[in-house]
Amino acid sequence: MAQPIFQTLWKTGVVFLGALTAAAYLVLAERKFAGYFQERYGPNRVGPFGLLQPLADAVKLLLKEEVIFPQASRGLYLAAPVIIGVAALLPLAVIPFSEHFYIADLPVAVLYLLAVGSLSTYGVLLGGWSSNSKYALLGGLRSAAQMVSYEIAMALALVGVALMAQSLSLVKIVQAQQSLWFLIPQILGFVVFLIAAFAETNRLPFDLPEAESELVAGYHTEYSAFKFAMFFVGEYIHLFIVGCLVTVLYLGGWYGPWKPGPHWFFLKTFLVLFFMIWVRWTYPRFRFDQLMRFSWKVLIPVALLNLLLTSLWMAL
Amino acid sequence: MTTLFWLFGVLAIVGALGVLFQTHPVRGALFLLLNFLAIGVLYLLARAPFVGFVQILVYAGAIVVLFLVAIMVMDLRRLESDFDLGLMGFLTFVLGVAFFVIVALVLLKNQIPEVSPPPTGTPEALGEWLFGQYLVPFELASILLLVAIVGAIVLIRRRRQDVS
Repeated sequence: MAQPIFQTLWKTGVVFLGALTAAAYLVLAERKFAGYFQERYGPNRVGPFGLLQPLADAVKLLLKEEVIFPQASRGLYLAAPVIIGVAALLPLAVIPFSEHFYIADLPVAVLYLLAVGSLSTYGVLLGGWSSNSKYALLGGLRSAAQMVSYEIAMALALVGVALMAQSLSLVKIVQAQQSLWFLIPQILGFVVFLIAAFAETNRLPFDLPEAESELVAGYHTEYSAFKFAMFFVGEYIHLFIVGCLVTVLYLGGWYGPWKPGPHWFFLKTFLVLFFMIWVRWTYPRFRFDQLMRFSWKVLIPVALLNLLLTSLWMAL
Repeated sequence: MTTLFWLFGVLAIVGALGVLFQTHPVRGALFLLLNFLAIGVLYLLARAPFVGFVQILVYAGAIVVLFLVAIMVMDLRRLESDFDLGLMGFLTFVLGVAFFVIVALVLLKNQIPEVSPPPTGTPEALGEWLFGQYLVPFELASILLLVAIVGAIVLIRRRRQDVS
C-alpha cells in the first residue's frame, strides 16, 4: 500500500501517457476494423498501414479554429469537455495492470469506480445544456437518463463480483480468480455488465445520445477543435477503461497459462475491445423507449437475480 | 491533512452559500454538487472511505443529476426573486435560526473529539454494525424508502387515470 511518492508519480505518468496512446490507437483500430467489416481498407495513407493516422488526426484537431458560440453559457460550455476528460481518466488510478503495477490499491476500489464513473454524466449534461442548442440539449438529457439507468445495472453486477471475491479491492478481486475466472460463476453478471458497458460508453447499439440521424451529433454538436477532441478522447479512454475493467472483474486480470503478467492483461483487454468494436459495426440502433425499457425491465431484474443466486451460493 | 480539511471545509461552505444566493437554477444545482463533493472528501479525510464514496456516488452522482435533468426538462430560466412564501417563509426563518443556535451552542459547550483512526469506516465494519447492532433501524429505514417509492408510483398512476 504505502509506496514512496515518486513511485506513485512515475506510475501515474506512465498510465496517463499509456491511456492517451491507447485511446489514440483505439480510434485507428476502430476505423481499421470498421473498414474490414464493411469490406473496405480503412485509413491506409498516413505511414505504413495508416499507423501514423492518430498523429495526423491530433494535429488536425489542434490546428482547427476555436469557435465559442455567442449563445453558449461560456463558463460551463468550456468546463464540460474538461469534466469529461478528467472523469474519463480518474478510474485509471485503481486499475491493476499486473500483480505489482497499479497506482493505488484502494480497499473500496469498486465504490471508487462507481463514484467517479457517475461524474462523467455532468460533462455530457452540462455540455448539452450550456450550448443553448436544441439538439445538444436533447442529446444531453437522453444521455443522462441512459447513463443513470445503466449505471444501476452495472453496479448490481459489480456487487456479485465483490461478493464472490469477498472484497472491494480490485487487486484482491483478481487474486480471487487465480483458479477460476469469474466469467464462469458470474456469467449472468458478466452479460449484464457488458451490455451496460455498451450503454455507458455511448456506443452502438446504445448510441442514442448522439444519434446522428435525428440529433446531428447530440451533446457535442456545438463543440469544435480541441474542445471536441476532449469529448472524443474522453470517449475512447472510457472505452479502454471498460475493456480493462471487464478483464479485471471477469477474465482474471493478469492470470493466464504459463507465465502470468501484464501481457495477459493487455491481450484480454484487446479481445474485449475488439468485441465491442465488432458489435458497434454490426448492430443497428435501439429506439429510445426500447433502450429505457430494456434497462429497467430486463437488465436490472437479471442483475438482481444474479445477486440473489450469488448470495445463496456464497451462503451455502 | 489539516490543510486539506480547511480547503474542502471552505469549499463545502462556499457551495452551501452558493445554493442559497444563486438565483440561476442550474448554477444553484452546481453549487449543491460542489457542496456534496467537498463533504465526500471530508469523509475521506476522516478515514471513512466507504461513506465518502457512497456520498459522492449517491448525492453527487445521482441526486444532483436528477435535479439538473428536472431543471432542464422544465426549462426553469430564473427563480422569481420576489417569491412570497408567506407564513411558511417566516416559520422556515425561525426554525433555521433555532437550528443554527442549537448547533452553535452544542459546538461551543462541547469539545469536538479529535478524528481518531478507528477502523469503523471500512465496509466490513460498517456492514457488521448495520446488520448487527443497528439491524432494526436499518430495516425500518429501508421500509420507509419502500413506502416513498410505492407512494410516488401511486401518485403517478392516479394522475394518468385522470388524464385518460
